Amino acid sequence: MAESTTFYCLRCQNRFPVQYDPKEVKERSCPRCGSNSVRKETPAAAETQARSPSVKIG
Amino acid sequence: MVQKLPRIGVFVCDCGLNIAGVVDTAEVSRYAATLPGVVAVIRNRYTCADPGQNEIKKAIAEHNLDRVVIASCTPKIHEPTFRKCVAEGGLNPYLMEMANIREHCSWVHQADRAGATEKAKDLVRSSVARATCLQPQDEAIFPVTGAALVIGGGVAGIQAALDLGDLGHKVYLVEKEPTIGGIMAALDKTYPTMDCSI
Amino acid sequence: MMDAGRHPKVELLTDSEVEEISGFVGNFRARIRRKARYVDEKACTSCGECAKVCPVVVPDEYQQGLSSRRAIYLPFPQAVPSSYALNMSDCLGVRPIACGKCVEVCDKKCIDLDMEDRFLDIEIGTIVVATGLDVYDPRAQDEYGYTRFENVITSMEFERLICAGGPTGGHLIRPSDRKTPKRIGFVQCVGSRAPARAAPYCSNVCCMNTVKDTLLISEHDPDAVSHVFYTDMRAFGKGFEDLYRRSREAGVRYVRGLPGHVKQDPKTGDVRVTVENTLTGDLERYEVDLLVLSVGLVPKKNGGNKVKELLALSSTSDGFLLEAHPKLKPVDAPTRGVYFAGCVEAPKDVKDSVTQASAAAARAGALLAAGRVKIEAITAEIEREGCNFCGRCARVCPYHAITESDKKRGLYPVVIQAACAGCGTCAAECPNDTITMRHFTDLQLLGQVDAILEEKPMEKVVAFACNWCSYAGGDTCGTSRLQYPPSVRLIRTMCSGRVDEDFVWHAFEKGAPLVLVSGCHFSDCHYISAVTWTQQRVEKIWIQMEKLGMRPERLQLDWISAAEGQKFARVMRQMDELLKQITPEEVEQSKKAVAEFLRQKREKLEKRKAKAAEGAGALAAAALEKS
Ligand code: SF4
Ligand code: SF4
Ligand SMILES: [Zn+2]
Repeated sequence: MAESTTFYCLRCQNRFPVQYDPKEVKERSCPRCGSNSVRKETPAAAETQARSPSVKIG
Repeated sequence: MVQKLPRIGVFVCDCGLNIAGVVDTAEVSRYAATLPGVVAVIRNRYTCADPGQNEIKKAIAEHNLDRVVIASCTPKIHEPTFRKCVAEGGLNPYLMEMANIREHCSWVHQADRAGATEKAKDLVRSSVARATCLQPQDEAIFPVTGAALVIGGGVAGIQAALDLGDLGHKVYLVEKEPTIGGIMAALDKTYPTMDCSI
Repeated sequence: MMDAGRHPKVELLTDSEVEEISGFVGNFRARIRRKARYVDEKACTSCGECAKVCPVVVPDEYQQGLSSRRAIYLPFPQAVPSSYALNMSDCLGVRPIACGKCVEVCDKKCIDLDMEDRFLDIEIGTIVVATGLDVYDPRAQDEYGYTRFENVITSMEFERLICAGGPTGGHLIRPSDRKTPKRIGFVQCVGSRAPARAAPYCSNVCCMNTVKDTLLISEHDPDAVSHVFYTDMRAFGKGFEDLYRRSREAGVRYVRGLPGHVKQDPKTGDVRVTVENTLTGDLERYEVDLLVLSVGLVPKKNGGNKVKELLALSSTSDGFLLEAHPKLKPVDAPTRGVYFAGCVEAPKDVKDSVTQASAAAARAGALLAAGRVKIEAITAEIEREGCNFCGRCARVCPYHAITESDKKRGLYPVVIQAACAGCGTCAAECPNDTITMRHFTDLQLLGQVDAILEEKPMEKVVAFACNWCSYAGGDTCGTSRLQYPPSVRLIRTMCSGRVDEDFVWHAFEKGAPLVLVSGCHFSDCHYISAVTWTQQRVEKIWIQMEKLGMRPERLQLDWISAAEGQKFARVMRQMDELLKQITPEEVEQSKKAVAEFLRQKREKLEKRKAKAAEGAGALAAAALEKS
């Protein structure tokens, strides 16, 4: 079942909610910068995200 | 994999001013000559034109080339052209590699000549590296069974089956209902001619 | 239709369904289920005596349920083959024979209630998929009251009512009181162009079909008035505008706006329509005797999907089948040797269906006429050495081009060369690196990575781009002269599915600050679903990067279509930005971490390979013993 899950963008560090079903492999993109480098936020991911410089991508 | 050092010929294309207007093709050619395995570098105004192609064939014979790298436009346009060209020159067509220094370089870095030239050099280097490991390939050929299966007996299926039949091929037309005709058969008249559907 | 029944080269198999398809371009095999018709179609003369005695009365599908038929019936007068058919699910029952009246009256004895399904196995070189579509069912969205009001009908029902061969002999009447309607309303876009509620696309045929219907009405009855409630009238084809003009000249009123409210007067049976005229902004009310819903076209649900699965075809987001290329190969399926005809690919009218069918026949015919197929030498090959029968390759291949392996019987997986499209997914996924892509070998691609990173690696982005979409998107970008910084170096693969995890790790080991993997959007993937494996692989690498203390940001992913030159340029600019954020220290650090990770990985691989070799040796010994 799809559930609302937080995803984050590996390009612009944007965080956004996604209807996520782990069984489904779906194309996803960041609503802010349009990149497809987006993934589910996990504790480990949140940690690296905190270390990452925030990139101004436009 | 590679037993002996290959003999690579690099052909750098000016494409008129399309490439040479931004990328320093003379510099790229000089650089290409320093790369391992490269035994000949030839710069051309238009490599894809007949004189350019003849140049390639001539160089294959003259320098005993066993690999060809062409730094020009995208392989999506001229890969078939140059594969044929090297085949005519006596090489297996799969021993040809292209570096895209036009669509991916000169056309998109028009304001940065130095950067574009550096990138073109890299693209040539990358292609030469790939060419070094290229192997001759044979395209497999399979026979074709001389019959067709058309699935669906609506107007499209019927037409396809008739055309294939008229071409002289055996056709199986499969329809799941007891009759062919599909949705069209249920229409009264069809536009634009306003004639009967059946 | 008749011609298809008579053509000496066309074998007509009605009541039939394709059960299985195997093989590859030029060499397909199919198993066809010939469902029992219970009537010998060759012997039947369509005398109709059987139907007269049949006691079962059911709605007639052909007449859209507006009249009835028997359990044994002729689908319609011009049916091909011209033979009655018995629908077993309507029949009173045969075992034990409960009725059997039809059998008794048939002089020619062509009814056999014990008939059973048969199977036919055929070999063919090519397949044309023409499974068509369905008509939108307005019961799903009942805002126009189709289920509640008798005098609200669909355009398909209208078609039967106005047809001389229809249940009313071509006299247009309305269902509630069988009166001849004088005021007829048409509602356009029912089931079409409604992204939130029904199909998002335009069904292509409904505008012109309504125009045609209004002309038929004015021919039948010059006094009748038609009102058409529309979103946009689309009359784009040859001769279409002319018909539209004729319709307006005949007095048909076109009202721009879809009804907001529809109600049938229980006493008079008239239908009241309230609509906001979007041209004037006024709320207008109309009273009509009959309201026709111009229903759209939807992809086939049942039969069509089965063929889709059998042939491993994919569909676009609207549910219609995806062609190999929208402009260059519009009738080719992505699977070689398979072609599309008609509405299975997109909604289209009769003329376009016929045109496309001829095109498909020409494409299929060319293949048959050539008598042989050449396969570009970019396919996969499996070396047995090192393979431990894990079966991963066969599972991931979008084309089912790899045979199942079986460890017990020592059966190695084999790539069927003609079925392999060369995406490279198997080679990227094989945990034991036993698969070689001819012309896109590991050695060739890693050689490119090395060449790029040999000088000034910190200034460069190593990017993998698939031949069909992202590389081509770069070409489009170039053709449009969209400018971007020159930091990215593209390496072309046929499919992003070819990008092995090891390629990415290798780049990091060699000091790449940033790696980009790019391919087609999921809906454009030229290798059916290979791109889904790319995404899963990248996600896996991100997790491993984190474990190695690397920022996953250093591996980027993008889907860029061949048309998206703009996006390509944007991504290139974004890569350049990201590149500037990466420090030499972190690259140095990760070089070491990745080198250690790869060393361990290689060690494990060696062990697995040694074990596989042992296993292979044992197998060979067992085989020797047996013989
Ligand atoms: S390369 Fe692609 S199509 Fe060919 S066998 Fe491997 S996964 Fe299948
Ligand atoms: S080891 Fe490789 S080739 Fe062998 S079955 Fe597994 S994936 Fe296929
Ligand atoms: Zn973003």
